[in-house]
Amino acid sequence: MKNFFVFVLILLFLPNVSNSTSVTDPLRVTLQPSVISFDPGGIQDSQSWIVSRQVNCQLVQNLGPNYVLDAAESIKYITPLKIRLKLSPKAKFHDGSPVTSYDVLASLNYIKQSRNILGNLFIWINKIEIIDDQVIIFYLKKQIPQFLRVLSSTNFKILKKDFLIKAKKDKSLWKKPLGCGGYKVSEFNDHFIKLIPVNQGIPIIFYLSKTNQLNADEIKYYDIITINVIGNSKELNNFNIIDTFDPSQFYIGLNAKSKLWKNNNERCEFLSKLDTKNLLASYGNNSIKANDLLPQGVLGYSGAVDVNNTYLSKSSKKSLSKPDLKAPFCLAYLTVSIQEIYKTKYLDMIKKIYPNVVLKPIANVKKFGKIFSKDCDALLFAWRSNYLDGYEYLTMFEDNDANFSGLTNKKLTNQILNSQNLASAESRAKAYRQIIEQIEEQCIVKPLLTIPTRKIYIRKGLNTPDIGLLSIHQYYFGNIARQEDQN
Amino acid sequence: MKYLTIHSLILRFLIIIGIIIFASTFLTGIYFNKYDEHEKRKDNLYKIHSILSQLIISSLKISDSSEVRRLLSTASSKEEAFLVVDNDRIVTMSDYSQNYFSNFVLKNIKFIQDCNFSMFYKYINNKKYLIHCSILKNNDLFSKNEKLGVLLSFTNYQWQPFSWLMFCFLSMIAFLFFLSIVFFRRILHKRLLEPLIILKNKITNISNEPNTEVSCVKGFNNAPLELIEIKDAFDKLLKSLHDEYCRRMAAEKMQILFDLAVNVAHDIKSPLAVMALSIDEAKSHLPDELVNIFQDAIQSVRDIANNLLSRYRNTEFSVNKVIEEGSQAWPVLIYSLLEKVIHQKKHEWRNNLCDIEFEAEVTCKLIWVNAVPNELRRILSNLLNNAYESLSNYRQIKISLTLIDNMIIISIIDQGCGIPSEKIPFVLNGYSLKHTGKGIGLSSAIKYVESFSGGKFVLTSEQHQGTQVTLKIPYLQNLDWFPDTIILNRKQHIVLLDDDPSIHEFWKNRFRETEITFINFYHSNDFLGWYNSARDRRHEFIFFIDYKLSTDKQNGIDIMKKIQPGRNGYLITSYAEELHFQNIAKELNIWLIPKTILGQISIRFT
Repeated sequence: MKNFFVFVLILLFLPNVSNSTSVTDPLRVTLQPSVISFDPGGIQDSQSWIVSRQVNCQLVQNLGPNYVLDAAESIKYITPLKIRLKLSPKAKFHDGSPVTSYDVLASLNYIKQSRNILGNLFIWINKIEIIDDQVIIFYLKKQIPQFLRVLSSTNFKILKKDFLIKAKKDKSLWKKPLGCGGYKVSEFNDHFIKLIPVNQGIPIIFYLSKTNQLNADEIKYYDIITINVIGNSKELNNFNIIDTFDPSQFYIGLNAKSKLWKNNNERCEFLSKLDTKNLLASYGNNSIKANDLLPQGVLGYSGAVDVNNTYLSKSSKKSLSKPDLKAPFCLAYLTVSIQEIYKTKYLDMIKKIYPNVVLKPIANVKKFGKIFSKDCDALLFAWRSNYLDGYEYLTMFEDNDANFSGLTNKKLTNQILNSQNLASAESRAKAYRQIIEQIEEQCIVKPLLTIPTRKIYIRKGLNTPDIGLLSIHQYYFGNIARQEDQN
Repeated sequence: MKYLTIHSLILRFLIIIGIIIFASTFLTGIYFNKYDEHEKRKDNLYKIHSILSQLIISSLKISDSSEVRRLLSTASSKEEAFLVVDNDRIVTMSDYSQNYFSNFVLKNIKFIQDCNFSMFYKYINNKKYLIHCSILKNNDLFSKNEKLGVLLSFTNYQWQPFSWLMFCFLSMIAFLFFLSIVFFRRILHKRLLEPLIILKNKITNISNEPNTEVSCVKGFNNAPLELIEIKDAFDKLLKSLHDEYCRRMAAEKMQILFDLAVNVAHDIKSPLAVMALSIDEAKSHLPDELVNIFQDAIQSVRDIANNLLSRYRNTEFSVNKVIEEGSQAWPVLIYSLLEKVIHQKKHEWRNNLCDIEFEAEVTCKLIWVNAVPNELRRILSNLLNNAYESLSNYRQIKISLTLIDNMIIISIIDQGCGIPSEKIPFVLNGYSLKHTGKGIGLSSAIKYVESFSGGKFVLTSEQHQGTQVTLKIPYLQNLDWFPDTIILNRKQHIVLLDDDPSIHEFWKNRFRETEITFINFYHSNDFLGWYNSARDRRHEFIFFIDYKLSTDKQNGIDIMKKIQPGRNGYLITSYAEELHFQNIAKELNIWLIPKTILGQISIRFT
């Protein structure tokens, strides 16, 4: 009976299959399989970013290479170390209350306290001074040219102070966060999330895919498709396809404390033996073999290195003691990163070395490192960049809850943090390379594959200004409009 | 119709050519300006590529995609897109919605990565783009010019040097120019050459056959104004030439006729002399009246012959003058003229006489009308003939001469057969009831009478009752040379020179009851002898001098010219109705008195 009601509910909210579409009909957008979270304190996947971008506002947003003010009315560098920020009186939460300096401060503090990665912004800030309800002054420790770039990334949402206090006690409130974006959550379940505009725009329904793929015949039910489309259909003629540069990289991380390997060399040998050929094939043409800890296009990436060769060379220095290949192998995976359809491919990859491999999903992305390192040998995860900086990939090797390796190195942590104090991109890139060399020395992580671009299908007749300028998870859907004659 | 001038024709052509040249220069200028702009754009593109490459290389080698995209975005514009393709075939661009560029790159990746081409054009997404490529090389000291990727630019700029469009444009300009030349040639041919050829042909025809009927030159509708004016002048000249030609032909004919008439006049003298001699010898056997008629007729014929001969001998004579005189009007004594016509008719109809009753008021006898004597005489003669021919039983024709309102009325009334009322219009229009083709006399009479100012011709007729023809003609008043009344001062003396004693007797009788004294002369020499002695007192005399002094070599005019009496001189002659005498009278400022009305002129004393 319960299943029947769920079925009816799904039917009710299935995309309108009628050919004719009104300009006010909801925008139908697919999402990859994901556990959508509006909590900026945790680790959000890219699908959460997409939805969260519509619901929450930030002080400043990205628009391609430029920055645009969002909740802020003005941002002025009074001195290189003193930034005066004035909030816009138009910036309001969904309950109609204005966004105040206190809300901004509360939000930043919440993120700082809750999140154990991507803390670079906070190490740059000396103090935040509230002048009044509308004016805040950031005092920086030193000149940071990339300050606004980081602040504009999707990581720094503003939420109402009262809401944050209540949400600390009641996690269910995150289903309908009190944000200051153009949309607010109308419905939220395991199948779809419906957003309705606060002032203007057309409603949006995000459909959560189960398989991360869609048959070509089915695309007629949607307006924007961000998942894989399989097969061919005439319906594809009704869509424009764009390839946005939005690199994500898939990794396998090792628990250094696992009994399966006694030292670095054994880990290196294991990692170097991993055959990604079939895995790559399963991801299709969009995927390429990863050669570096950082994906292509991310600051610090080097095309000149090949991590496989590094691991291979390390493994060959000293022959391994015979590994216990019959030992059980626990392979954990982050559910936000690895879709169900690919699990077996990963499993097969490990099975070639350790046949007794078992999978263990990890849904708690906030402390996945700690959870994993307790009783699993390896972890599958993917990492997507927000502002194409190597730091975003290195932050998980700091001494924090995300660190899955079981190795904590204060020196490395400081090195990673200190890299953020380098103003010059070239200096940072060099610092990242040094850090990466140290990480590779430990043989605790191997990049498996990279998906540099993301295909997005956009129904013809939709006016989507500037959609090609930035990643889909940074794009505000409220700018989209339907044309009158759209079918 | 508005005609073009040659000037405006040429001006129009120049304007058309000017417009074409201006348009072609303008468009060619635009073309080469575009060409220049295109070359500059290419230069700029090279520079942009060079600068952008330098900037991108430093970011690309550390894989700073955000900075690369920022740089690409800065360089890109609405019409120009830049993108970078790295060695791993990853395409970095500022706006990924322009996926047609990345698709193009990925389809031609080998070709693009080699970057071994100069700029070229390619249609992408239905637009034409100029594609340029430059290799991004890491040029620091340790990298050994390692290739990092290629920088590509797609410039939406429609330009193709010497494209088919330019070829079409140049062809069109050449064609337009050719067309304008052909058009102008056609216009020149139609508007200038064709009329000139027509004019030339006309002149050739006229020169070959001058007697050809003159017609206006045709086919000049589109000719320029100047040619129209030449044509009009030529038409006028042709007409004048033709008229002159016709006049000369007529004059030559007249000359022949006149020569013939002169010969007749000369040859007729001898038979006239015989006739005069015979009548003189036979006058004792004939009635006086008949003798008088004969003598008058002979004298009239002789006068005509003499007049003709004297004119012929005159050095100033010309046929044209005669013709001119033949159609010239001058004062005619209407009573005298009518009386002569009646006299001739009576003699003409002597074998079948009719009663001609001629009544004229006294005042009418001194009335002059300005008419062509022969024409008037012919008309009156024709009218009398008509009246005579209509007579049947009662053979009488009444002719009257009256004055009404400054007009003299000549009425000819017969009691003949009359004209049926329905046929009067035909008769007035020149149809004869009796002789086919001879009725023209009546219509020409009407035309002539109505040519006078206020002149009127009236025909009233009733069948079997008779016909009345009335001619209403204005008469002349206050003629300079004709005295209605001879005004005398009682203290003045009359000097009379006449070879006829009866005239002396006539004047004596007229002044019988006055105290006027006469000094009579019969010969001019006597008169001139006396006049020389009395010259100082000439204002005391009135001179009555006869024109024809048969015994003297000098006539009255010669005497008048010598003594110049002015308004005290009266020339008495039977030729007073001749224009020659009237002119001499005007010239000498003397009076002229026709002999026939001597008795009608009143005398008044002051």
